[in-house]
Amino acid sequence: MEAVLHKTRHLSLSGGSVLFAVLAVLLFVFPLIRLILLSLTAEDGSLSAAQYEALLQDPRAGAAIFNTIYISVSAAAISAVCGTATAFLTAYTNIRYKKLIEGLVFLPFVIPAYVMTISWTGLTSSGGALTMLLAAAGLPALDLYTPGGIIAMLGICHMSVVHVTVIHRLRKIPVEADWAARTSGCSPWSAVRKVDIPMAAPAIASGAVLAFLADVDNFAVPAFLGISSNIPVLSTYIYEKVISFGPDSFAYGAVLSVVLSVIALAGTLIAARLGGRTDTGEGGRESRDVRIAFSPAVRRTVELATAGALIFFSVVPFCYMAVSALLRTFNFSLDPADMTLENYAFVFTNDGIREAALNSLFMAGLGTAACLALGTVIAYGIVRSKNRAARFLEGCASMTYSVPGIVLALALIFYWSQPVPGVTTGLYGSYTILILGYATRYMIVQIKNSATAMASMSAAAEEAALVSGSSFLRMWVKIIVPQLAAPALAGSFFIFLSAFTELTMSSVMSSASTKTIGLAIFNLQQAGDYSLAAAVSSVILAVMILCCAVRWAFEKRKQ
Amino acid sequence: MSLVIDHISMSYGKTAVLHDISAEIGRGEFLSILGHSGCGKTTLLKIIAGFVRPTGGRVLLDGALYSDPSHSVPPEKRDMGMVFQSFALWPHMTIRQHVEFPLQCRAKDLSQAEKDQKVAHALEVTGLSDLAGRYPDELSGGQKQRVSLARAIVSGPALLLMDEPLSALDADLRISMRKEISRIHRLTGTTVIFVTHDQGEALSLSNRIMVLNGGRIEQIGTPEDIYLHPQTKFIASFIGRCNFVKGDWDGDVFHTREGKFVVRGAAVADAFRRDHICPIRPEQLRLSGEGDGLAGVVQEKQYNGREIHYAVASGDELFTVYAPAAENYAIGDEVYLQCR
Ligand SMILES: Nc1ncnc2c1ncn2[C@@H]1O[C@H](COP(=O)(O)OP(=O)(O)OP(=O)(O)O)[C@@H](O)[C@H]1O
Ligand SMILES: [Mg+2]
Repeated sequence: MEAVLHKTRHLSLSGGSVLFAVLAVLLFVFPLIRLILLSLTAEDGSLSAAQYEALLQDPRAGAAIFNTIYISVSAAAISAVCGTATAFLTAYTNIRYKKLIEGLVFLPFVIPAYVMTISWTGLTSSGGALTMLLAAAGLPALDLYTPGGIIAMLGICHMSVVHVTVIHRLRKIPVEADWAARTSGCSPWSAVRKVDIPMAAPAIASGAVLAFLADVDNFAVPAFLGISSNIPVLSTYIYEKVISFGPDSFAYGAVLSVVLSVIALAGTLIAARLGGRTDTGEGGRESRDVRIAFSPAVRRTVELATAGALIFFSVVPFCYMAVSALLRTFNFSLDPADMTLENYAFVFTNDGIREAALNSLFMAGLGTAACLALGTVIAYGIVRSKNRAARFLEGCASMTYSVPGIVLALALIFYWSQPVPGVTTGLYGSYTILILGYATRYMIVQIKNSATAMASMSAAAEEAALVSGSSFLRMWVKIIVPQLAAPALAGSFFIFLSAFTELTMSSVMSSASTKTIGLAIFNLQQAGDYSLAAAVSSVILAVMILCCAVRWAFEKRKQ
Repeated sequence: MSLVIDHISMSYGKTAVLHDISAEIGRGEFLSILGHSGCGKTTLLKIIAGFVRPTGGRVLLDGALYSDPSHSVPPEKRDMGMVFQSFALWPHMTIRQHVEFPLQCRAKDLSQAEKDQKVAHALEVTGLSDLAGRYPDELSGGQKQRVSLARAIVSGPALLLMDEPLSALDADLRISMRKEISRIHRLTGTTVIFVTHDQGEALSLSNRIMVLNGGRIEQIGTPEDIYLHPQTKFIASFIGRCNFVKGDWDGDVFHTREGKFVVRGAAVADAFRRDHICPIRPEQLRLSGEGDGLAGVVQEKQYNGREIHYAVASGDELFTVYAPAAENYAIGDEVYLQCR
């Protein structure tokens, strides 16, 4: 009896292996291969490097490559400096309000980059409050529609990436390492300079590389700030090519995508090589001892300066955006006579906006559900059955997450509209392709989340249920689902918010009837309707805050 | 001239960790601070090092005020070196760089040749000369602790603080490192404050031992003093093993109620007299097959090479006796306990 049970389970698992392997190849690997093949295909379908030759002749492509690297490296440097500074202050000093400061660091990362960008363009527009302030001080206005503007925006948005990487490293450096330096005659600051910074350097470097990858991947910021001012980067240039529908535009887009992926891959390889001697022999213990104690006066100044700068960068613009969407004109004023609710009314009455919001809700919802279902099954395969095919799938899924979004979108378009040469599915421009897109992009997030949750669950309970005669399905429903629900849904929450507000993939995947909310804002901005774009962004922001508040309240109640 | 710890007390918020600690440590002395986990040893050392400020009392070195509740000389300005239980090495530096580090910070006016000579000396004293080019992750635990020691002594500080420096090492290594530390202490002549929870280390290394219990000094004295003349029941049972015989004191003479067991103990502390007990070390007891003494039965027996350890039941008490291997009794034998 026991043997029979084992045998059937074993058989069904090997069936599972085949399924995992097939899914991995069909959903995650083939689209990327298809993209590479397309970049090597001539108009008549034969293999050729003609598109790559065209790339060499194209000065705009050269400019896009240069800009991508130059902008991303500079932005990563800003993120590295700011992220390391906030990480250092929160990990080592005696400042207060650390929770608030960390929250402010993460805010620009959580909020869609286009909302951030719109809010800043409002503040710095010719009638914006910041411009007026600067003018009053006799300073010239800030122009965000420049490489510098793009660099600053990206630098702020991705500073949290460096912050998290560095703060854990800093806390893992034992406080005794500092004390040993102090008792050797070193002042607290030299101890930081000579001991902590060198020990944290590999983490700072890998945080900077991660920020670089996020910068390369970003579409919204250069799209909002660089298209109108003719500063192409690869992600926006691919977008321009694809929507131009020229004769070779898709194939050329594929070539650009390969170039962009190579840049990203180079970054990843550099990150993998950064190691250094950091083993402190202390294991993973994190220490929260104060290593730099500011005097009360200095501490107050540091707190004010840090929180003030962060609030200025990531709270003030949003508030300004929400208020300026109430204005009739572009010139900032707080006079009730200049105010109108028209822009907000537009958000709730315009058919296009409503349709876009419903589209996003529907597609992000289904995409999230697909991730939740499949991702959890795959996680079970990885954690419990130690299935090699499931591990392989995990690897493939992390590939589609680390490839730049616009590249993945293009790959999925080619692949799903023509999975095999000669067979057209007509999926291009449908809801299905975007849902597939979200599932392909975010699957790894759900796999990782469910796997972490599952690894902390005891396998004994499941085995007990199986031994006591429950069927495999009942075991899932009765034992696994209840334990897994909360942590797995936390992953889904992140996926849903990302998919609901994303712009990169839908910018090339959406058709007129499957427009997303991000795309609607993008179109408004491109058409010069700042107030409307600001109103929609403010409403999105309000919805996101509401979602997070509900989730927070939910978690509070559970404890 | 010396280190003076003057009525130090310390509390974190409402929890008092140290109460009224006072001691004067002479130049070149080796003082161990001994106590159970959580009794405040590290806290006291942190106060001496200047990492925390006491909530009461003062610390002075050679007459200069180091710490009081409102004033504290920062650790880098104190003339001392420190060794940590966790070694606290810097993974990005070679062994030589570790040893050079304090000289770069402290001895700015030394010539390069003098610095090199000091580094070479510290490396040699700790037996690290051949390993100077290695990184910490290429060393064994014992070698790492030697690096930590070399770094602490290279600038010739007046005071060397060690917080359980041997606790992270294997048992064998601990014993051989004791000898090293003792040798280095003799060689350098610095004042050492050595925190440990291992009584063997404290007894074998120190000139004096300070025993802490619940943040108070239970007793401070030479190892012999602490071992032979414990002032409290805590000390007597914490340092080595001790039997407590119940009975009455009559001047300097102790006897059990029935008068079978008599001790002449002029040096026994008042605390024991008040409690009507007499502390007797296991090796101070003698077993005999007949005659006078406290009657008992051998319950357990452990052969230990040089001597045999017995557990002898007498009434409802259990006595521990260490007897020479020549005097051999079997379990179940009726014996009589006497004081040697
Ligand atoms: N920063 C702190 N805040 C509050 N309480 C503390 C702090 N540091 C230490 N304590 C408390 O002070 C007491 C003494 O701690 P200490 O580290 O000095 O003990 P110890 O004798 O060194 O122990 P061990 O042998 O385990 O190292 C402990 O009860 C500890 O919980
Ligand atoms: Mg301690």
